[in-house]
Amino acid sequence: MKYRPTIIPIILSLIALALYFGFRNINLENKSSENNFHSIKLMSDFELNDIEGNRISISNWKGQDLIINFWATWCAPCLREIPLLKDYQSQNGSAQVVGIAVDRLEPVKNFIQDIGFNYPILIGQSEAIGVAKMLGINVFALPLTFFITKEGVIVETHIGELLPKDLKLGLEKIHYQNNL
Amino acid sequence: MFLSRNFIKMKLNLSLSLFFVVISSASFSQSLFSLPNNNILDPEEAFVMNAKVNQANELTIFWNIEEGYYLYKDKFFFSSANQIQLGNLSFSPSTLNYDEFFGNVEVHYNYAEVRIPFSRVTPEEFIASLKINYQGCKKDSICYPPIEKNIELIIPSTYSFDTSLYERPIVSEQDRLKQMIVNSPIWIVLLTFYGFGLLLSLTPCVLPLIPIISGIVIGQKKNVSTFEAFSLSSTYVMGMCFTYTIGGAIAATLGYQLQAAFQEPWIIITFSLVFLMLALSMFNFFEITLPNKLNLYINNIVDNQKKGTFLGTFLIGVLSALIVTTCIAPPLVATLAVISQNGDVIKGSASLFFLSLGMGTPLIIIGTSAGKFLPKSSYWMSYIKNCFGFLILALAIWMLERIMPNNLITMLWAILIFSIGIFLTKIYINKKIFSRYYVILLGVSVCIYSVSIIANLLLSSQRPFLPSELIWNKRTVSTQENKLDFYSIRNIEQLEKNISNAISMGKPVMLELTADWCVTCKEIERYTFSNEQVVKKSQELMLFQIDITDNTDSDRKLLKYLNSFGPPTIIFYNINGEEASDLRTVGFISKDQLIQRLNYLTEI
Repeated sequence: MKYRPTIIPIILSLIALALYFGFRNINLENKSSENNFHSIKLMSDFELNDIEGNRISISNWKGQDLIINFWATWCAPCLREIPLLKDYQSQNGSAQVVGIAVDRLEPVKNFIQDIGFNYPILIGQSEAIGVAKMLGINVFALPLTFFITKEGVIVETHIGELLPKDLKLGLEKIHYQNNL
Repeated sequence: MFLSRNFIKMKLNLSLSLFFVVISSASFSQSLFSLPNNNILDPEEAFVMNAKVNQANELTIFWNIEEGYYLYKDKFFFSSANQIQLGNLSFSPSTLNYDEFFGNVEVHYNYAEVRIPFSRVTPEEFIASLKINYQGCKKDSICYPPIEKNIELIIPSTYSFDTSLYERPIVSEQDRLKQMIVNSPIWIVLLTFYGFGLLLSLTPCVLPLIPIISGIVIGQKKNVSTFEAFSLSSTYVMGMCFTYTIGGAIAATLGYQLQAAFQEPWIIITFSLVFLMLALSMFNFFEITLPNKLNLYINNIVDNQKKGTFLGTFLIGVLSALIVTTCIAPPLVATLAVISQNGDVIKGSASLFFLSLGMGTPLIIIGTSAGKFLPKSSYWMSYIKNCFGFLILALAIWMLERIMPNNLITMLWAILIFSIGIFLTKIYINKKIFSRYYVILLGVSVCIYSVSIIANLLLSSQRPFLPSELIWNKRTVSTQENKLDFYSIRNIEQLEKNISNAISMGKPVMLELTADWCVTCKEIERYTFSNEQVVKKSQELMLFQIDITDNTDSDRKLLKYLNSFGPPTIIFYNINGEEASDLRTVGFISKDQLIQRLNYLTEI
């Protein structure tokens, strides 16, 4: 009985290898520009206007954990999550909430008058979208929330409405990162 | 020993490969599940925008919207910087989305379409740039910031549009045939053409084909089985259909380029005359045949084909179609003309395929039965031919409709109907079939109907085709045709002078921009300005018209002065001579919309 090792497994494994490496490379390429939770992404400083028109730098809150929340008056889920953030801020939470309105000045002013915020609001349109991209977002959509440690490490990016559990998860990640 | 080592190697190989498969599938699944951005699409993918210009004065912008995403109806904004001016938007149906903050908001799921009428300065092709804003969300998830797009749109020349494709709320009686062919579902059109084909097969034209088909089926072999006879005659008919289908495709293709030509009065008149000739030939005034030599030549080829084989039979079918074509040319040309109006190649060739299939159906039956059910040629065959004559005459009138005044066309219809009545009566007299009283009854009533149309016409009734109008119509006798009398304006000085005249008379002004090439303007004139209420209401106004067909220097200056890009635009001035700019319209305007504007203008 003559036996010859079959060539099929070899070919199969080669194909699988090739596919794996090919795919991994594509992924790496993608992720290098994405916010990837394996790599540490640091926030750089940025400036935006407040509703009075003053330039405000994010470094004003240096040394504090930050929750940066992007919102707009035309975005219903954003308006839904604002009470949660206000509650958190009023309970003297460890992190500072900063709201960034991606909207025109007038409706934002009216909205602030109507409901009142207990955390600072910055405002901008394409400028604010630029900030979000700088923080590691490819597709800009609202609502959008970043959790950033006092060292400037972006530990969590949440797209979509922020629910209490999401807030809790983000804060835990900040806590974990700070205790590393 | 040797064997076992090999065996181990193989095992190793296998496990290695398995390992890799597992690893790679793991990496696949990982990459699948850790997709960035929580599966939120890029707005470009969620809302795929497209634009088309489907009419000379209307463009459509549409979005294919990803499942679960929506666009806000009130967040659409359109503006144009050059060349065109946009009119009132009309949206595709939207749904109400309840939102705790904004209440009920109108949104578009899956698909959004916006039709925008526009005015243009020239009938020629040009490029317009459009700025489009829109905004949307994913349901219960995220919203995108407003999206702004700048696109360049090629606006084709007005001649490249088939005016028959216009959909307007008011469809005149005469447009029904056109509408049937252009807008009906394809199966109705095909069924109609199949029916035409069946009718055509009853004309004497198909008689020369019967010996051919019998020759093919019984000619060579004896004792053909029914199945064989059926497949042979079907092949033959398919050959015929092939020729016709190609003819249909050619007509439709050419027609697309010739559509503009079909708007030219002299071409329409020529075609109508050709149709008249064709119709006369259907009434046996003369006969149209191929030159004898050519006919013989084709016959020779047919005879020399090997009979009994499928390919040969198919080829004979292809060639026979050419023989028959000369005989049924009149209805065929008419059909082709209609198809070429449509310009849809697939619909055109499919229509002709079904027409020839209808023509071939009796041939298949005859072939399959090997001549058993051969119908006897008799006088009724020529009557069917005559019927086609009337049909072609109807087509000729239908073509003339676009260049002749309504009254004349109605008169022609009446005359045609009258002739049909006479024809029906003639059948009775000629054949002296006394038992068929209903034929003469029908003939006489058709004649009476045509007389009623003429009477209605003379009484200038609104709907002359309804005999009931004669009795029930309130007949507010207005002998002149309902038409607005516009005073033509040629330059700015004239316009200013006339507007100041209007101020001194205390009358508001309606100023229409028009041009010969502006189809929508013609429609406004035909459907809106001819309305009785509009005519009555507009007596309280001064009516001015600017015709920019010649596109002279002063025309251009006027357009610039009026801040308009051209027709179809209607501008209104109040009694103080100021433009009521919120009333300005671009595009088609219905009589109700116009009356609403006129009321507003005269009340304030």
